[in-house]
Amino acid sequence: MATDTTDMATTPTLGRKIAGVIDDYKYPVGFLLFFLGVWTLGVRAYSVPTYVLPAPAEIVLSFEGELGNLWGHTTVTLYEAFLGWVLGNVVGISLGAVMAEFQTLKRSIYPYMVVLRSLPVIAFAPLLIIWMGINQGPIIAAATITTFFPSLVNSIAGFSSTDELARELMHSLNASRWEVFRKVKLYNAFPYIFSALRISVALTFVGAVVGEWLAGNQGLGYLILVANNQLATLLLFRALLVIGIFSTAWFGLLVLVESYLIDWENQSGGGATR
Amino acid sequence: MSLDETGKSTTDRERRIDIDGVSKIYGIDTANPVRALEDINIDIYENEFVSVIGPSGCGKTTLLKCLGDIIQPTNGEIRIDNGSAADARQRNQVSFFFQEDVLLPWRTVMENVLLPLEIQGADTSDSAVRQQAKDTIETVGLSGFKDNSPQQLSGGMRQRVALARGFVYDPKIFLMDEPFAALDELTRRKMNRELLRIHQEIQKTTVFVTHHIAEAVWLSDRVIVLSPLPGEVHDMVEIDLPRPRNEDTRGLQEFVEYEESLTETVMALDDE
Ligand SMILES: Nc1ncnc2c1ncn2[C@@H]1O[C@H](COP(=O)(O)OP(=O)(O)O)[C@@H](O)[C@H]1O
Ligand SMILES: [Mg+2]
Repeated sequence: MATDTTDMATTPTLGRKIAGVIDDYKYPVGFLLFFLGVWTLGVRAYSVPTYVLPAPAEIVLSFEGELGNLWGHTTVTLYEAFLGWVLGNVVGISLGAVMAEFQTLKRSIYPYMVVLRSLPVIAFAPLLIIWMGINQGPIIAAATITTFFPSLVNSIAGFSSTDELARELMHSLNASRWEVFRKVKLYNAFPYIFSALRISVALTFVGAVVGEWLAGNQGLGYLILVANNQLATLLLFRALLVIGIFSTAWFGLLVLVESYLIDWENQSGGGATR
Repeated sequence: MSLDETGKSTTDRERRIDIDGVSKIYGIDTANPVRALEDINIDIYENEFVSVIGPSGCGKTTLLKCLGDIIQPTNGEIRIDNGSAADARQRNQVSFFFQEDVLLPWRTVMENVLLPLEIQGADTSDSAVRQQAKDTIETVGLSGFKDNSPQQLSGGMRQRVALARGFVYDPKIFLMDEPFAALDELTRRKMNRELLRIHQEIQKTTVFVTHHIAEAVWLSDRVIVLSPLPGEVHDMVEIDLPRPRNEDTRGLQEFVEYEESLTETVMALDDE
């Protein structure tokens, strides 16, 4: 990023791009291979039974014939996690913007948000089930709640991050409060909003999985519970692996979208000063 | 517009800014109030270039922010064209230049310069509006960079974009708070030369805060020296050097005398 300003005209060739990717990933990939190797050898050497810890290759091979069934559960969990993520972020980011803009409101309700936040979602779950019944409702609500709090906190920080000088500039130009918000504060909040969107990917899966444990009869969280009851460790690993793959892909997509949308970050610290 | 050109004395000219008994106390209801300004009385006239110098912390920025209606004086009154400072700001008659360029990094040079017009309700897709911005960018010598983003420019170029943003809506009064202080020596001299040229071209009433005495003398019709804590007008010197000025002006005997006597004054203040 440090060399961004020197030469904007040359786009790297495909060859150089690939070389760059290899360079970025060689250490983590190397470590992964090492880790899988040690895992495999350890399991073999001590003859660990499959129900305790299967070897990596066993897990991969066990996907055979299971994909159809797994995919059904996956779409259920993705649907819940995605809906919870969208709802939690929409509410969290909007409320954060309003709270940053109206300090009285923030001072009135923020302390209670902090208290609520320190309660684990799982403590809400029985209540949610009483209110909504045993269906997808409480599961989506759990995912929404886990997403909401970090989103709110980031949003407040983002919409408050505009520095004094930029606000004085807008004031000297006779900008309205709405124009200051729309033309300056919103942009300064973007990096924080994306950070909220990224952090909450993992959290919405936590909410969805926990929700399925308590109120689900399908989905990857439900599968994990079933697998646990039957000591079906391979099934458990398959479900975990699928969650890992989708949450990583989701996260990666957000990083891509962010780097495409926010090209001024890093070069200026996101603020209006140098 | 100098005295020589108009043949009039200062008092006959139209008064633009009237600073009348202005005081500013920061943190008035705290344990340690700061008396940043104390009973300031200054009149500033049409097209006059006035510099304000003084040790740091003597209230230069505070005075300028009061003029720009960014903060309110604790006592006294500021009148600009017989209205309040707030009226002048709201009618877009004043342009405030900050010590930093305060460019919005998500906007191109062109979009940054269009910002004031946009806020004033102009249609920024209109070709006349865009032409106005382009012409201003040309005035500061950045025609080739209008579609660049600020991060791609050097500090001096960024500061020129900030100048263009302040010029573009054709305000009547410029308030400049050490706009070149963050730049290196060479760039700063170039920027001052640019400012002198622009001031001589499109005459504007200008209040220029600086701590650079030679530049103040070179640019100004009048130099005001503030003393610190409380900030008071310590001295006011008419700079009676011919206009138009140029690099040769710096070689004049009077120039050197003004510079030396003002340096003495400010140094004496610093020692207090
Ligand atoms: N917002 C503020 N709150 C409290 N004190 C301030 C504030 N702004 C400036 N001051 C104080 O007022 C005095 C004048 O400041 P300033 O106008 O910035 O001086 P200058 O621009 O000449 O360096 C200084 O002592 C400074 O510490
Ligand atoms: Mg200052």
